[in-house]
Amino acid sequence: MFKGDAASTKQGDTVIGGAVKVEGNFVGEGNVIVEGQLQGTLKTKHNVTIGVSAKVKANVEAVDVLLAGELIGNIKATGKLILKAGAKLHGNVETSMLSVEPGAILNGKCTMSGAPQQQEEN
Amino acid sequence: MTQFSASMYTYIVEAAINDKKYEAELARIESRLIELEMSGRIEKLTILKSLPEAIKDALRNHSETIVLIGTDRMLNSAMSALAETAVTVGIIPLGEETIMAMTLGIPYGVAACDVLSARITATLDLGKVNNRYFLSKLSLPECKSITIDCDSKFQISALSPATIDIANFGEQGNPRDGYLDVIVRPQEERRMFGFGRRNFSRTSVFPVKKLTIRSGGESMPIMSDGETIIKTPATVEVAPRKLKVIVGKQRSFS
Repeated sequence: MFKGDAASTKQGDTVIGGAVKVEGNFVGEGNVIVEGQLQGTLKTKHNVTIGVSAKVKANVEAVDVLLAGELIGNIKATGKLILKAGAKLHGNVETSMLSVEPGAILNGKCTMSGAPQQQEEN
Repeated sequence: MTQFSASMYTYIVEAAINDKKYEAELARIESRLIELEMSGRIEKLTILKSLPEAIKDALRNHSETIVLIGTDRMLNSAMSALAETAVTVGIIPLGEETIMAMTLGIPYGVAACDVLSARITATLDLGKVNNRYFLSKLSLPECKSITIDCDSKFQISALSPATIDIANFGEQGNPRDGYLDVIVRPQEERRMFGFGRRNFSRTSVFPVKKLTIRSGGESMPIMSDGETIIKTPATVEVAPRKLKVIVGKQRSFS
């Protein structure tokens, strides 16, 4: 998941690569992949993937969030939150579904709000 | 200049195409256009006749379709003159570099006449840099200390030397999504021990609508088609649905 390059992402996705620093309030329309540095806030209506080498100091709001690197800030995931082995999270969590792999660090308050929001079918 | 009867179409031929090696293909194109009943006024660019002048003449003559016969460079050069008009643009790719036409689904040379005849049109976004329009992309080679302010919300800084493209359309970017893609490619670093080079970091991609590029210290060149067109600081924005173009079925975007 973290080994591809920009070519493996979809049109409209944002990739914050390892050689880039982003500061401010980032609002994405598509999926966001972070492998570099981010400070501020990160919001998207899609998914966020924070890679092993990423250093993030930001509050994150998304549907699904996968954390493999380090994040200082709060996470609100309306779908699911996955903390991979080696992930470091210093902040509060609000999510519907939580998965923590052995070796992940979570320092903060965790609030679970039940089943993830499903799209209604007509 | 060759004069045909109809004035609906104006065909503008790039100066570089006025070369013997393209004579036969140009003749085939003229014949095919007559067969398709699409003949029109043909303007061949020279030192005395520039592309903006030829476009102005075509608009003055009430041409409904301006067809550019030539390379990507000609297409990009025509954007500022065409962007503010309601004219439909056709392309017959001919010459050395015709990647943009291929991405628009237009085959090389005489085969493009049939795509023009089918007349599938798409209205495309353009990029705009300090009041100058571009179709494909801008490039900043070898950026060392550059900051890009995006949509007045966040800033991007390259942590190592990088090349930066601001793409509307071409190898990357969709010319109908209302965004420009800022693409930051870290330059390869040499290995101290061992052979070859390695890319030490992944390419970054940011879809944005408006950005301001600033370079710390001295001004840096911003290039289009290998030529410096402006220097930093510069403001770049997307101009949505600005150009009506005849495209082929094999185009790379929906």
